[in-house]
Amino acid sequence: MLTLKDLSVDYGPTRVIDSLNLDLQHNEILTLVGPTGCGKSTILQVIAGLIPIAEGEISTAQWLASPQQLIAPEQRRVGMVFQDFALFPHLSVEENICFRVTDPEPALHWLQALGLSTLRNARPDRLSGGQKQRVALARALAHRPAIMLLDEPLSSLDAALKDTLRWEIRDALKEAHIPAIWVTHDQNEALSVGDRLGVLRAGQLEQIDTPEHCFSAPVTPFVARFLGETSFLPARLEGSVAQSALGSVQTISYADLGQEVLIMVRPWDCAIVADTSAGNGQLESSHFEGSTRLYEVLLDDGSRVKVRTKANIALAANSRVTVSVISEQALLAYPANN
Amino acid sequence: MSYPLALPIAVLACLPVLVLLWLADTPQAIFQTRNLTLLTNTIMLTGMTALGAVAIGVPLALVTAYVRLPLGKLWLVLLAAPLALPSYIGAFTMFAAFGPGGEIQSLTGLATPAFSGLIGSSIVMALYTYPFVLMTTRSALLNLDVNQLNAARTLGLGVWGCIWRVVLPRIRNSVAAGALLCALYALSDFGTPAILNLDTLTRVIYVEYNAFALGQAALLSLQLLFIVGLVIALESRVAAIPERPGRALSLSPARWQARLIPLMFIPVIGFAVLLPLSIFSLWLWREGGAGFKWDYAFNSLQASLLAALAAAVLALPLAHAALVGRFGRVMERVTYLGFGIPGIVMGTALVYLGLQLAFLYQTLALLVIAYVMRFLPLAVGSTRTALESLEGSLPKAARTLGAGPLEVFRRVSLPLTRRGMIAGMALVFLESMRELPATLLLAPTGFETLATYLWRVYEAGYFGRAAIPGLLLILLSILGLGLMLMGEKRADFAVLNDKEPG
Repeated sequence: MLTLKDLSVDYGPTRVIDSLNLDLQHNEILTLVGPTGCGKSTILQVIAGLIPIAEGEISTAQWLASPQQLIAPEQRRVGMVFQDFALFPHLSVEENICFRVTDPEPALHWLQALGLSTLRNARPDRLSGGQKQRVALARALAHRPAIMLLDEPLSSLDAALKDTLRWEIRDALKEAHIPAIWVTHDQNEALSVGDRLGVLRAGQLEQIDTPEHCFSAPVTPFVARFLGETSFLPARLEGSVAQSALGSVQTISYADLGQEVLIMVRPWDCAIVADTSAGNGQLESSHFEGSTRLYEVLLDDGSRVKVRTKANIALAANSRVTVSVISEQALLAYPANN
Repeated sequence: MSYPLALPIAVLACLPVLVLLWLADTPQAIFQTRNLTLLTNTIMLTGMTALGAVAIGVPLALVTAYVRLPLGKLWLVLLAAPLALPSYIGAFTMFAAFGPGGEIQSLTGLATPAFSGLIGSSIVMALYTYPFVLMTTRSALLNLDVNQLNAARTLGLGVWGCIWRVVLPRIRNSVAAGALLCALYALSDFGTPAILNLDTLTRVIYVEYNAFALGQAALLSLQLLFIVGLVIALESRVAAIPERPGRALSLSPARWQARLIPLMFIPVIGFAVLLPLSIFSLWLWREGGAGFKWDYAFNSLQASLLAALAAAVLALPLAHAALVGRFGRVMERVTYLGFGIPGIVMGTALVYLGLQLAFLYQTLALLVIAYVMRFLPLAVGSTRTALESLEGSLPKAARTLGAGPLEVFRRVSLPLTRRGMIAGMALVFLESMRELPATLLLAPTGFETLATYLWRVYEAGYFGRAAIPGLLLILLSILGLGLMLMGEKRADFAVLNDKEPG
């Protein structure tokens, strides 16, 4: 549907996107996630034709854009939902949605489907954040784009609304059979809503895969840290077995490793018991979180590990504890210089 | 791309100052007694106006901000109204109403003191400028979190102690900003001291001009500009103290209190608005439309319309340039010079220009140029605000929906800026209609406007003939006020649109 080939984008003298390659499949929702300033919004802007390409090309079945071949935004059939919604303040909800629509019938379908029927004559400044978001989505859908771009569509809404709207948007996109790139900085949103997930770091794709795979097998510690709570422990590798402060553990890796490695330990990979006589670390903090409890332990070699247990296991503060690996799967190992 | 268009306009805006510098006599006379008297009078008038405006404006601000009154918004509009009236209207009617042989004496037989000189001028100026203080102070008061007051009360401070030790220190800068605006207005006003016989710089510049001493007039103009520059510099350094967001204090008075409080508004509104209205009405009833020709109104209309159109066209590149880059902002600032240049000074500079350039001499064009140079900032300001709404994602959104650049302009940019541009035009129009000093100096012979006719009537002593032009000018000012309030409502600040308490 959409292919980015060796795409680079400059803001003045700085390169914000560097040789990016990306494929968007039919009917697919791809979420792009990354910290602030990683260039994720820039990618959407350049796909929409709102900023110029420095190098490389963007192509769909209908058009191909490159530094030499400029395609105006209005010729790309790309729909965009802006972070600030960008509703035209001088037009009503209906006029916004039907901005350039010749046949209003399918457009009005979205008005109904997104629960906006009663608001069709309202002005945007009378709408709540969630309503504005729905109007922005309806407007983009009503113009029958070939591809939809969503730029942090939920970031200006409150938490309760985020959760329901997330699924409403996904359902609408799937119903319309429109592939989409959905940019967010919220890892929960990124993991739950996309068919595939791309993690961006400083203008480059660190990993792109199904959300499940990105989460369970992150290719770098950066991806692992960004998508969930993780501890990294220094270890010494012998074959596939690593010696760490938690004893010897079975590891696997996606890279060639030296002897010094970091092993990734998720909070539920470990068990923790009180051990006043010996133990391998000291309890530093304990947070009750409702159904579970999160402990942070300072291990005897100076590294720290987080352990999550059931809430009813309560350990005394500052006591000696033994942390042990209980995961049945091999732990991931990364080169130590990460 | 708007730079090449904006640059010549910005350069032109500096022209009056350059002309004056070139024209002025050598300043040997600055420390002569007469010049010192002039300076003292000017500075005294400025200072007393500012003090008077604070004395009237701050209490009114406290009441209108914190006390919930029936018809609160109506009172607020009435209290803001004097700002929209040209102060020479007030000076003229007060001059005619008070004193031996004044209208009050001939109607009631009561002897009232004459209204003139420094005291009279200061009172008139304060009555017509205090809304600046009222507005800046009121908005500072509404931004003040009520919990600061609550905290002070729980710490044992009484109401007056709260106002003195908690409220006033927080709003000090806003009061000062309003007072400096009043000072600026008093410095550049020509009509009031001229009518009330106070020798200030503006009045004497006109006298020198009439004596064909342009060099002297230019020298005095430069002195006036210097003081104006000082006040503007001072004003730019006074910033409102930022407040954390919170709810403002809101007092609900008992019914008898709610009826009594508006009584304190009545003297202010009475003197500033009702007195001129009644004096002009009295004259209209007594003398009818004697001497008045509708030509005067048409002349005013013609010159002001031309000025408004020209200002709207010139404002567009300047406003655009101001949004594009740093140099554009500098150019925008330069055109603001015109607003700081008193009308009498602008007139002096352009009169000389007319003498040098034969094709401009005694033409309507020169008068229109003066209006545009003085009031262009009004048009630039509202055009820029309108263009700002186009920053950001709106045009981009329209492009992604499939609209080409022309369609975006027609369906998004134009509808969103049109109102602002029209509002700017209307402001320029109304200001030009009321402008007195530059019109006196620059109107071609025989080209009488409403304002200049009012002045001739005053000079000739046929006060009764001022009725129709006076009432027309008041009517226009009311229109202008309505427009300003509408603009503020949209711009989401000040008088009408503050969060209503409760």
